[in-house]
Amino acid sequence: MAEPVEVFHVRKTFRRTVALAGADFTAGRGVTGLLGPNGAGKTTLLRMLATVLAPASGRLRLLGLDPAMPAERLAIRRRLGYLPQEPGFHRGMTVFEFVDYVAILKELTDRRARHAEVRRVLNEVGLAPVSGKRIRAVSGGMRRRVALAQALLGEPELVILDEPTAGLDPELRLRFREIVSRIGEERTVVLSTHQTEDVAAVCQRVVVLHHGRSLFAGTPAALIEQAAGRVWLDAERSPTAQLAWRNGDGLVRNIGGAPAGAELAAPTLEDAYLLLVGDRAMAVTA
Amino acid sequence: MTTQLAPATSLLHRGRTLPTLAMAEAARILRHPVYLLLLAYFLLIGGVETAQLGPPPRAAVAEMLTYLGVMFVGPATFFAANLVASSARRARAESQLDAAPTGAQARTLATCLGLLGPTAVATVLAVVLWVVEHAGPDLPQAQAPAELAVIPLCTLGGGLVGVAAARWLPWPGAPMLVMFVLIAWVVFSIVNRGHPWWTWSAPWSLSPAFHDSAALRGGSQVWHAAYLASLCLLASTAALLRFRPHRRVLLALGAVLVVSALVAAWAQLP
Repeated sequence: MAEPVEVFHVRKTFRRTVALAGADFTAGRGVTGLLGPNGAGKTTLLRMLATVLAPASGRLRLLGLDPAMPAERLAIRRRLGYLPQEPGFHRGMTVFEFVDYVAILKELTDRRARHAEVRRVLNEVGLAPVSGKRIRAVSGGMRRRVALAQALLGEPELVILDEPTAGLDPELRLRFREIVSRIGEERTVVLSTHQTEDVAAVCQRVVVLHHGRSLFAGTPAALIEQAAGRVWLDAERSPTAQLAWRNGDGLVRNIGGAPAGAELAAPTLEDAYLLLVGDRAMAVTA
Repeated sequence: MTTQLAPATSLLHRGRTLPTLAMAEAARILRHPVYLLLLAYFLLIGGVETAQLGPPPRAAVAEMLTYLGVMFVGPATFFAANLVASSARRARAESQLDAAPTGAQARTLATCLGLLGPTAVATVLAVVLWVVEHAGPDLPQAQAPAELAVIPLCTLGGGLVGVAAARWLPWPGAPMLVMFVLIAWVVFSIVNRGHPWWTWSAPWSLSPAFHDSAALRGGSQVWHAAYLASLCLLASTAALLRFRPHRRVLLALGAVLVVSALVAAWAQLP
């Protein structure tokens, strides 16, 4: 049976810049995380999954449908929720009015049912108490939740979240993880992030993008497994390490080709990710 | 090069979404601060001026309402509709809204239909004006229904030009420039009031009863209303033409409307 998200050799260029150079992956029910440094093509890929951008070549199948076909694209949009990287708002509207407006665009026309659905999603993201406040008057974290609320309208089968935790404080990030995890229990969620902890916490699958290509697609455990035997602790930085940093406990965590007799440490998702994408990732995460 | 996927379906197969969205857009325009502030401003100024004349004679009230209808409501609707139509772009919300089943062209059509809200308000104003002019002995400047139709048509047209400007001129200051051109057109028509063609082709004009110009007399107010209605439909067609879907149909409709506007413009002349 086809997966809800299938991406085959998708390419996209913006003038001379290659944003995607043949990305491939599939995503089933649950949460799939896209990891990659800035410029890896995550946002471009997610905009394609949200049907607002067409690939230059390659093929997409979303929910078993082809977004290149107008009728099928409409069917996808009716079953899709999208949180862009930089969501925009009509700031003069109240939180309720804005989500209600998007609900109309999502073809929820019955007033009573629509308002009930708006109240449901606002409850789900914990915004019910501020639903009457103007968007310009609420905090950045709350606006992020407004954007998530509109993405959840109509219980979409496919939810696309572009860096949903960017700029959030730790408490809100945990709240977002909880919400995303709950959505992923029944639906397909594809999210992009720079945060390997987010992926480790909620994603059943991870796709690592680099220079527009998917370097890895599989479970977080399989990605971590790739770093087994390549992470060790030492008193000093090792010259054989690709990357090394001193931990809070004073030991240096080295990752790369471990020398004989090194005290191996259990690798984390971050270790594996850094090993996979190399120096460029280090420059971004430093 | 960015290739945005076009809205997915026909504008005409929207079920109840379009009317629901149009009502939401009408509410946004009618509650827009620009619309309300300009309305309050004009009512205040007009009210003070009328009060200074002593007990408000019907003629003064009728004159105030005529100016309010023709000179104010259209421009106020223009700015409010422009700001509503461009709000998604200005808020950088287009990307997330484009992922909804209701695309940008359908949203534009809904905004155009939403202008029927302010048009209804203007129609009420025109009816009130008609009642004021005809409740009692006839006023010398009493206007016929076809003349009063200019009030809702100017309101609708102003709003539709505002929507078209939002779609085609997406930069700051563009609405002011468009309004300047419209006002320049009207001023030009007043300066050249000896030439009926210029006077009658202006996007809005006062009833001939308020002017001595021969150029404003003797023409057909019914054809003038038809001319303004053609301009309204042309503005909405121009707004919808900003998007790829249905372009051929819209171009054909636009051509028909250009012809009908020219015919009406000719037929209205004295």
